Amino acid sequence: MLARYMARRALASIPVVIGVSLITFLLMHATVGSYVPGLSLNPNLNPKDVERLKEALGLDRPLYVQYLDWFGLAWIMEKIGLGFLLAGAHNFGTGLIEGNFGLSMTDQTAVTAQVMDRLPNTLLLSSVAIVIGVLVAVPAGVVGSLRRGSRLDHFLTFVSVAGVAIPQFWLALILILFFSVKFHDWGLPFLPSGGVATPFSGGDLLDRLAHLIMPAIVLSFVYVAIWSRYTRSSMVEVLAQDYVRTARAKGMSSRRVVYLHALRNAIIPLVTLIGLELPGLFSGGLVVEAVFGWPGIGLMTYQRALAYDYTTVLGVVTFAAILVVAGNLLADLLYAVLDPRIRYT
Amino acid sequence: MAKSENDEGFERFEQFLTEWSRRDFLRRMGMTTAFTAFMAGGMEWLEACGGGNGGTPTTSQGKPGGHIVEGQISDISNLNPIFLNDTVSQIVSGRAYEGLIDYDAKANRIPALATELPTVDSDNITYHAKMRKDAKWSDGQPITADDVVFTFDLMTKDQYKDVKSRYRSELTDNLASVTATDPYTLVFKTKDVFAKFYDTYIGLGILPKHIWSKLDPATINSTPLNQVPEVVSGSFIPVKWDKGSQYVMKRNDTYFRGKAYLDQFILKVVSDAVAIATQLKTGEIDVGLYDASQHDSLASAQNIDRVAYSRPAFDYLIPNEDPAKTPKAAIFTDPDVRKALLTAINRKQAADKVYFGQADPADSCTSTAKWNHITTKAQYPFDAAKAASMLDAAGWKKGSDGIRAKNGVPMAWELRTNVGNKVRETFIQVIADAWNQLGCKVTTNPIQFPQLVTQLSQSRDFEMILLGISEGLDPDMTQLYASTSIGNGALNGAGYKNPKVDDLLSQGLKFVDRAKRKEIYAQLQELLMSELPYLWLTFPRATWGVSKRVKNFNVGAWNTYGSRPWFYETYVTDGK
Repeated sequence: MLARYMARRALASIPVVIGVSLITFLLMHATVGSYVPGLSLNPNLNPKDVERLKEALGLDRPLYVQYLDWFGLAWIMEKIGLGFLLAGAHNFGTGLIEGNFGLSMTDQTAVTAQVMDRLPNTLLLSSVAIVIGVLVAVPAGVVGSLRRGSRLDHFLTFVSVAGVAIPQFWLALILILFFSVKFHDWGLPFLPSGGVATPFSGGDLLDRLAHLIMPAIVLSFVYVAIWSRYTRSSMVEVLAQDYVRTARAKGMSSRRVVYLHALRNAIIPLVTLIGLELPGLFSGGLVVEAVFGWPGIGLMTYQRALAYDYTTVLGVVTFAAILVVAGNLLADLLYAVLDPRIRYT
Repeated sequence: MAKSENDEGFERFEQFLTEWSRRDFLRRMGMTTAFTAFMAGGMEWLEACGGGNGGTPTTSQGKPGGHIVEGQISDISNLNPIFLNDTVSQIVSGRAYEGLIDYDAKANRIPALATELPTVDSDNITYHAKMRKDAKWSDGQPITADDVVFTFDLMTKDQYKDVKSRYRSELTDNLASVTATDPYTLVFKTKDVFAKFYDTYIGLGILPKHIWSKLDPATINSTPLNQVPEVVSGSFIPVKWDKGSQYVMKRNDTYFRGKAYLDQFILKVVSDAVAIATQLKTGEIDVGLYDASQHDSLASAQNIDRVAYSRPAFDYLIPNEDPAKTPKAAIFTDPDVRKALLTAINRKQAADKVYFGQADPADSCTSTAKWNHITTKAQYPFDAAKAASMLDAAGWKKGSDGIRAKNGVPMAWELRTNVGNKVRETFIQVIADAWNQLGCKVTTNPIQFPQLVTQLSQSRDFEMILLGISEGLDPDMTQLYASTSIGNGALNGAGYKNPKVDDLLSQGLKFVDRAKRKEIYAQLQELLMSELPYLWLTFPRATWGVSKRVKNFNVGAWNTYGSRPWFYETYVTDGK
């Protein structure tokens, strides 16, 4: 049952991924300007060279040809025996079908290599942020729901609102100003203001943690804000249920009621929320990465998009689409495991 | 100066107080101490603005060992000299690959792999170069003339036509041959007088033939050796590249000038120019180019020296002088109007506001850092009253609404620049304000850079644009001012046509000797400045923070990125 459902979902997601890549491709080409605009402003580079470079990268071909080539039409036609039709045409060796995302237009390095090199950084930052988020949000939500209306509850509400209202870059800069610059000026041990590790002498666990802590906190702030509210309201609803009242009436200790029964049921919406965050896990917090100079996917995609590096952006977006789809499937699976009431047909 | 240095210094200090009066710096120390400290910094600033090469370059006896971390705001893209395209890649490529010659901070040529500066025959077409016999690649192989010939073959020969070098068309059009008459002697022949050849190609980084000739030509564009070469000739050899994060190099013990003092050189990617200032303060990086807005805040950093020098770059206004493209051209076709507009801008004040003092008013159409620069006779110092009377004399009189007009055309137009560039966005505001006070009606509109470039170089449907140009070593300005450079992707967006200018531009390309070319370009500068088809505004400075523990880091106008011939003598005082 479940397996069939999952297989159907997986099959249905292929057109989604293709559609995402196609729309991204069209959007990128619809924006004003094209590759190498910056070079065009170099008085030493003549327009003839710019045209040559564009041609060499295949940017002068009609859009549908560019897309199909990136997609891997050449490979498909080869396999079905129509390869001779393309003889003589440019083949840039790309091909999504083969899992080859092509070469970046800015430096001709493989897109896959660029993505894979940066993926661990983004995954590290995002997953630590999510873990911090869960570890802080759940207790905060539980406490808030148990002590409704108290000063603690109001304080936690205030923190939630602040977390959503405060811009991430501002918070990041304030933390840097305080914990890096000011601490350094006052002679205290200070946190590094950017990067993954200290160049030259860094790289050990403590150094990496010191670099990780501020960006992870900034990124998790929003999660804490939102998830604690969800947990709180979900808990409030569950605590009002009959079975909780029954358990209490039967003499179960308050703690067991809360943690064994109420929380496990209240967690379910939170799982969905976290599942929705999975794409974010991959794309990374762009703002946080930018301010802290964290070499992640988000920052790379943003910079390359500005440089009109079509292949890299397309590659990242398609990869993200695949992961989103997979992530959603996983979240649904987890949901079914956690909640026996759910049955898929 | 009319006032004494002290007076001007105190005025600046007063300005400093009003703008920064809340800073801890002033509250904690007394005003007197603050003033003294500021004057000390101010002296350094005045000194730095006096010379074109900020800070006296020193070469002191070094201590071996240690490392430096240089912060830059983008990552490398491609280190291969035939593909080099951006400044950060130039920094690293210049450490790895040597060429026949190199340059000092003032653009003087100095021999590198060549034993002496290559000579040019009287026909201006044949170049002779003799190479050192003691230079070796990092794998022990000797560097010979064959490597030079091979590097040029990659950019010209048919078997390498798939190699996407940006120099290919220029070289195939202009270079006749490169031959190695013996393992250490080279002869270059250009097809005709090719004035740019010396400074564009003689100093090009050379690739090792014994490594690169083994590669399949189709793979050369994308080989990882483009980013992490294994065999190099420079003072440092690549170790690893953590994409987006850092590039690590270690000392190359076979470097022909001698072993560098430093053990390691690390390029660290930092998010932006403001973050560079932050990391300079905390010591996370040792050297870096910071944003001019941070210049004052770095004054109080105990561990940093600031180095500022005039860059080979200029900012200028491009008015559209083509009536077929815009009716506003009627305003800009009169040279007296253009001169009045430039006279109305207080460029010193603008530089203070926009560049935080780290720029100088332009005194020519090409920057001070260039070897062909002259201070022209025609100058346009700020004089608002004079500007107003010049406009009156030209027939642009104020109407009842306070806006100047002539023949029913009001002096109203839109000034554009690229959005996202803080300096330029502020600059257009400052300029528009100055002109609006004069009786014009100027609105500002920052737009996307690619759009701006298209408008400037192709469609030419703009009224006025503010832009900056980074100049190269060669003095040629054809792309900017020739009548053939209009609307076809080149940069003469104003549509300026002057046969005398065209003539001088082509003459400048007919000689190889720098002295002769300097004369021609001097004439060109005088002519352009006297006609003022464009309004040249400022020459911005490069602002470096250098940690006090780093010595012999002698950056200058032409020793910013790739050319750093002194780098093997850079050392750190603490040996770490």
